[in-house]
Amino acid sequence: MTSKIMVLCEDSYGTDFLKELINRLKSENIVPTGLHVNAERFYGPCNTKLERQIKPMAFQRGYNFFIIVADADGNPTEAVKKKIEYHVPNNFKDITRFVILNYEIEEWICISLNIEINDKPSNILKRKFNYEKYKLKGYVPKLDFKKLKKCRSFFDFVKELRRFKKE
Amino acid sequence: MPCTIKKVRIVNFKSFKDITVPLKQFNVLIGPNASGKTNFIEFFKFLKRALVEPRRPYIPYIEWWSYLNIVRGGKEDFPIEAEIECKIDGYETRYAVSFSGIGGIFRILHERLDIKGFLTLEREGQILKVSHDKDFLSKNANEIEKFRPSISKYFRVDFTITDLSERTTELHPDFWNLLHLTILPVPYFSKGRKISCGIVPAYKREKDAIKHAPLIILPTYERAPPLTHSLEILLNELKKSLIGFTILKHPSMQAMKSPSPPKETRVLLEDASNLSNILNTWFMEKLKFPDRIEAALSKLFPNTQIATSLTPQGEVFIKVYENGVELNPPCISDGFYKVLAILAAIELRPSLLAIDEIENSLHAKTLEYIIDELKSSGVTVVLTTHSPVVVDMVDLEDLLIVEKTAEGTRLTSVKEPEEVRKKLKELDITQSESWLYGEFTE
Repeated sequence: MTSKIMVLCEDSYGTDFLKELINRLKSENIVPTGLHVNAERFYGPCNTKLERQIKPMAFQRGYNFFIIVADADGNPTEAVKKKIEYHVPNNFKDITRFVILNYEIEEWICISLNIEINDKPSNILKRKFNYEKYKLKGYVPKLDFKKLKKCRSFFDFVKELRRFKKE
Repeated sequence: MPCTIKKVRIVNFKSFKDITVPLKQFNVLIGPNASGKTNFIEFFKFLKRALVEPRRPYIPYIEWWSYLNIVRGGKEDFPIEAEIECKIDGYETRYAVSFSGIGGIFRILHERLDIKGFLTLEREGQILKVSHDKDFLSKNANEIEKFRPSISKYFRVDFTITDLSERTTELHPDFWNLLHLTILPVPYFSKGRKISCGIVPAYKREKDAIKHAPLIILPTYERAPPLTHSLEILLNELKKSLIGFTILKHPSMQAMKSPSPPKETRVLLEDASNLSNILNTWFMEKLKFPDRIEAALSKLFPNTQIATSLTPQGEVFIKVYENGVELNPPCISDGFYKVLAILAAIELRPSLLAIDEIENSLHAKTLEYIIDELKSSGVTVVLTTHSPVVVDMVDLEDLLIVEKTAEGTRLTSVKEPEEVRKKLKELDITQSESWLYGEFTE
């Protein structure tokens, strides 16, 4: 059976950013080019709506693997993962993986640009580059995959996509 | 130096008896029809009309026809009171005002401005009382003394450090409100000055009134020009904040689609009828539309571009190109206009953006994007909604539940949201299901 992967993240900007990132990862042969991946928004780490989103995605749209990308906002990542996992239906737990960011996805940009993270990454980018969330997707070309290898959340994200390499 | 509103108190306005509502950056009001959601939004509009929109005659309630239509229970002898707590560049500021409409004459009864730890201005009729925090005065006594030569020479005012803790003066009979108070800065040119000193000019030119005119002392703003008093800067921020209240109440599709005479504008009207002029102003200025709008359109309406154009009569209207095909207003969807109106409102950086029934004309996926835009905008947002979709996509902490009780409209937040979340999971129901068929606050 072909894998259909759904990446779920917390806001609309994240979905666009991740779609663009996946395209870049494919174009640089880091993940298989034929991989079927989509990204959509889910409603926060502790919301019963998650279960209601996952089920139709699986049963009606055929997604059979889920990657949930969530912000820890400086909280312990394991605790955030548990909170979300609680809302994943039991029969989906084996096909669901988590990528928990220490703060938020903008930390990948900070790491790539050698910016020290001493505040919420989006605040840092706002101060330095007049960043706004709607500009997030435009930062994909600036991501430095070599530097991001050492970043746990990025590593996890790529690892989860690469598990389908042989398909 | 933006002003962030932290809390509002409303007394005797429409359906509110006496409520205090803490505001976060993002606030979603939910409740049945006629519970008072729109009244909450209209309170901000009323304050703007009453305090910063000069009109002669002074009838800030005119769009509600009569004072009786904005005062609780239609009782003319009830004063309407308002209180705003805000943070302006680190200063904890509280502004309170009460209005009367007795005998068909609308006027301000009482005002009080507190700048925590520094200064209080209190005005009753024509009398203004200026009080300073005693600790602040004693800590800065030496600095204040440096201003004495200028104060005596140019203003002929006498003072002791002790009597600065409370002084009164009479204001001009036409004085409007404290936000428009004139402060004469006392010149003292020194790079190291720590305080800003000013005088409220006495209305009566008698020697005694001049001698005892109140002084106003506040810490100096580093970036302030030498002859600008710190209080003037704070009052300006407060004024700007009130002027910046933007309300979108059922944008009029008909009006947005109709061509209108060209006019440079940066204030979006409540029905968004001047949207084409707002967009046209941006385009004329930078030969492009704001990136926020372009980014949203490319996401929500792929292969679509907008343009402003002129009719043969010279009126401005919005034109859309979809895959290169030109669409004129009658062929453009209402949702497209609604999205444009909301994005334009955000881009204008209001101090508070209130949108009534945000869900109208918008698909759930579009709402997701719009909610994300509003949440990440940094603008204080107040939404009202009847939509379960909106209730499900926001955090429980963002919700304000509006109820009409015997004691007037009440706004409450969800108590113990973590516990509620656990309960929802246990019952396997969503936030909106709990709101519609159960009880959040149970």
